Amino acid sequence: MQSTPAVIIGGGQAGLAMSASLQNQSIDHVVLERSEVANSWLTERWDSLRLLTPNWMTRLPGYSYKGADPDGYMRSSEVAQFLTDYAAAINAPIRTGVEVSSVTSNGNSHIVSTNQGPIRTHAVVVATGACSTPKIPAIAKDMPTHLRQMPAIAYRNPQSTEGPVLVVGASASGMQIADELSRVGIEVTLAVGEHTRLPRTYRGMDIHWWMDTLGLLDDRYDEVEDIARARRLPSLQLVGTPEKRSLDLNSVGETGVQIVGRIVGMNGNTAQFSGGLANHCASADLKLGRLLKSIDEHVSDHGLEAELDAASRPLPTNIDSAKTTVDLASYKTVIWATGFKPNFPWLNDDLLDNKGAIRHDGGVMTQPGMYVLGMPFTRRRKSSFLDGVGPDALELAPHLHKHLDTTASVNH
Amino acid sequence: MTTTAAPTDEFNGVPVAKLRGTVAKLTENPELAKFEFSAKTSWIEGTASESTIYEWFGAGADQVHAEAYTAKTDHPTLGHGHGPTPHEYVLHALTSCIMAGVATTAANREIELTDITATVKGKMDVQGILGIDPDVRNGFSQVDVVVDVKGNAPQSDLDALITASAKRSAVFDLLTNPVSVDISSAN
Repeated sequence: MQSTPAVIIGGGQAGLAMSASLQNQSIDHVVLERSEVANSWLTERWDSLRLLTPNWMTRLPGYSYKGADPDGYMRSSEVAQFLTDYAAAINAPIRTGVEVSSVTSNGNSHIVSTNQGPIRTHAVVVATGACSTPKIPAIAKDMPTHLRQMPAIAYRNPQSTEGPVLVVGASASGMQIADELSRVGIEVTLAVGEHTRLPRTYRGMDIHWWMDTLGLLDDRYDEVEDIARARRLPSLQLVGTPEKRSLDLNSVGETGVQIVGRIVGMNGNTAQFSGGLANHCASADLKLGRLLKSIDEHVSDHGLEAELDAASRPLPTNIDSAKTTVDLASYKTVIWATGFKPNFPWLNDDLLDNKGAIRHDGGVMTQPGMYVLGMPFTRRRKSSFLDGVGPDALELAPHLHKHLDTTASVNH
Repeated sequence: MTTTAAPTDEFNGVPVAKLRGTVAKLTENPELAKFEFSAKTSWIEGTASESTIYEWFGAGADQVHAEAYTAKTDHPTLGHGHGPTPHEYVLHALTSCIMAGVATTAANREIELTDITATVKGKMDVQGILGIDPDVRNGFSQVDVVVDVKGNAPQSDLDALITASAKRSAVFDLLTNPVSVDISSAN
């Protein structure tokens, strides 16, 4: 049987960041990738998608963006190229086309079974990403059969989408899709639950620059008040466009999108939506106000007023009497932008919680020698960002190193 | 300013440690979180009735309230003055549920409250319940709640308690989202 000290499962940003970090520790390892490096960036993103973070926020261990447009936002094909270049630059020991079917542990020894045979190892890093299996609400089963239903990752462009369209979910994906469909004249209803409203820029700087500067993205898993809640938060309502425009319910409403509450029921062709929309909007507006206030305080504390645009506040979310029912008889498409769910059929049940997510403490799994990376808030708020997985990998690699030292001494 | 409540401490009259302990216990054992609430209603006369609320089930066992509480309803013009209408109880249920949430959330965030008041208005076109126009719904067409929270925190933090409370309110959820209701004959 093949044998190596450590196996990394997944050849995306998390797997590569860990590969670089293990190389720093001189730990031999392999990176197993089910298809090609950065596969999901090439095959599971819509055509217009760009990163939500600016190009300078792509700091990976031993590698970062060096291009001509640090304030721009990469297209998904450019992200794939960036990660392919990263893999080459760090000379990552990648094996592509290797699909993992199970990981079994016996004391300190793990067997990773794959379509190309088993591998014995002392450490396993799960780096398969947080965005591979769409979470579709059970209500999808009650939708009339004339509707074409798809998760956001199956959506491509307005040309291949027949309207009217119901878009469910108002995080980055749902907002961007609703926006671009509506802009070409397709009738769109957008179902909105809890959401996080942010302007693209504030006082002339990118909102991510502010969050990075204020250290908000560095909030740690062992310091936030409610880590379970922090890990559930929907993605930010942002779009990365060259003109740096903001994307919020007011702007999509202006393009003609009909905004309704969270989808809560189906009765024949009639979809029922929560009447609680206004409260979700009020909550998002309040949180936005708090963030902008903390930015303003930072500006005045550091005497930066002269260098920046004046403080301002976006208009409150304008929802006049949203409908609580919509007849979907004439609708053609439903797009579920409702997030992702954990999907680890190849891991033992005792490693997972009652929702199927990996149980871990800052990336250290319950089985000694096993680690997970790249999940929302693994160790810090930005853990699932391209820019955030690096620090997690750099912190977990020494832990893994220490574990290998322990097992080595046990084995002697 | 930050003070951590001792196990017996009450904050805004909310036993914080007990609340947190319950959350921890039910997180550990979700089966214990399956509650059932009930009421028994008897006809008085005409449009009037009286409900008794005493028994409930929760935390894996049958439970009872401190006493058997009663509430009477009647119709304002067709009735005999036994009490407010049933749908006004729903308004009361909504504001009191939100208020309880404001108090517990404030306690959890260690914000001291001095006063909470709320006004709720429910618009209803009674052409629905009177069967005059089948296109008009029976229930409220719009419900507006104004909550005034006073306490020792910036007003934006106090206002944040309202949205947070509505987000976790049973009655707000019941009013804004459909629930399956099965009504059958006892005979």
